[in-house]
Amino acid sequence: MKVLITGGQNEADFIIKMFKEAKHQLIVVNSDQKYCQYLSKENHIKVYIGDPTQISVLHDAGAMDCDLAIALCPNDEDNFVICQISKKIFGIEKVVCTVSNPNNVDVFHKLGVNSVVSSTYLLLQTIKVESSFENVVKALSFEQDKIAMLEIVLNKKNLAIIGKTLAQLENTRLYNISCIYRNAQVVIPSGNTEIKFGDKLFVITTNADKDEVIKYIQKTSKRAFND
Amino acid sequence: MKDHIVVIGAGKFGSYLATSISTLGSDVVLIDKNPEAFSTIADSFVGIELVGDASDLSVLEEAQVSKASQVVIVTKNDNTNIFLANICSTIFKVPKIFLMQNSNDKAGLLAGYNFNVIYPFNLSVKEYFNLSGDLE
Repeated sequence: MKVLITGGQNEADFIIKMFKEAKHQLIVVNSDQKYCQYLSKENHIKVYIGDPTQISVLHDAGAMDCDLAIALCPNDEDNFVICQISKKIFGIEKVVCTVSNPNNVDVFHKLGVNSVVSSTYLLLQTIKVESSFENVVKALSFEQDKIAMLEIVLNKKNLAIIGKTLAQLENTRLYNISCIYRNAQVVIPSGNTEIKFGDKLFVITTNADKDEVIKYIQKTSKRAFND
Repeated sequence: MKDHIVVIGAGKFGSYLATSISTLGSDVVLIDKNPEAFSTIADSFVGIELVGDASDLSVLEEAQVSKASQVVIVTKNDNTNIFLANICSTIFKVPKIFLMQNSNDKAGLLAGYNFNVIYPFNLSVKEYFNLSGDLE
């Protein structure tokens, strides 16, 4: 694969190393002359010095037949222009960029740039997840937050679902227990797999139903409580 | 109803243009993120001065861009102007958009939209040949 990497500093260095190790062909364009020298020496690659938001610069660097373009400039507007040039002028199919302002994730989506990464946005998602469930539940989101994968540890003996088989569970139209991690082994469950204390459940659900599913799985049973 | 026109970038050109349009009788909002940019504006300007970063959607909403008959985007940065033009066209559906480009490198990127692009470079070259033609 031929990859265009524009702008950025440490993140560019890291991504260059990763793609180089995987033996991809790289075209690197950066406007910072000193950093270009560093990148070139450090990674033994050719680096083009120039403004990557200019069509002529990208053209001279050989961007026209790349398969993937990555824009890592500190300025969001610059990344937007690089994404547009890559798509519209060079016909590069896959375009990924970073944004500094987390609000721009939505704005870029509306303007047709779909793969947008904001470190602040990701940080916020992680903090939300880590702070709200005390590590018992972890959640990952896919497809712009529509699909959620939950990782739930059954750390209480009195949970209502312990001892039930998957077939006996309720509300199953809302979620699917796709995998159980038990005694350092991976169990792909079937309808008659019994849920046990200490299991770590991997549950696929929608983001809209996430809270209800967590509530159901963490519900304690009165009977067990009285034991 | 009066025309609602939004001008983004209160540099020399933006300020002068906003003043001229406002004296012709349109409602004008002039936006710049630097409050000091407005200090040089002429007394004859009768529009609204709005301090804020126009790439922030809430600032554009405050300027009622969705009601504007046209937006004139003349900040110093070409890429900012392109980004803002896309936002005004795609998100706020502004019917007429003018933007300035100091470099004519991105002309190919700006085709196919409702963008009217002003290139001072091209205008200067044209004017040179006009003037030199007169000299002959």
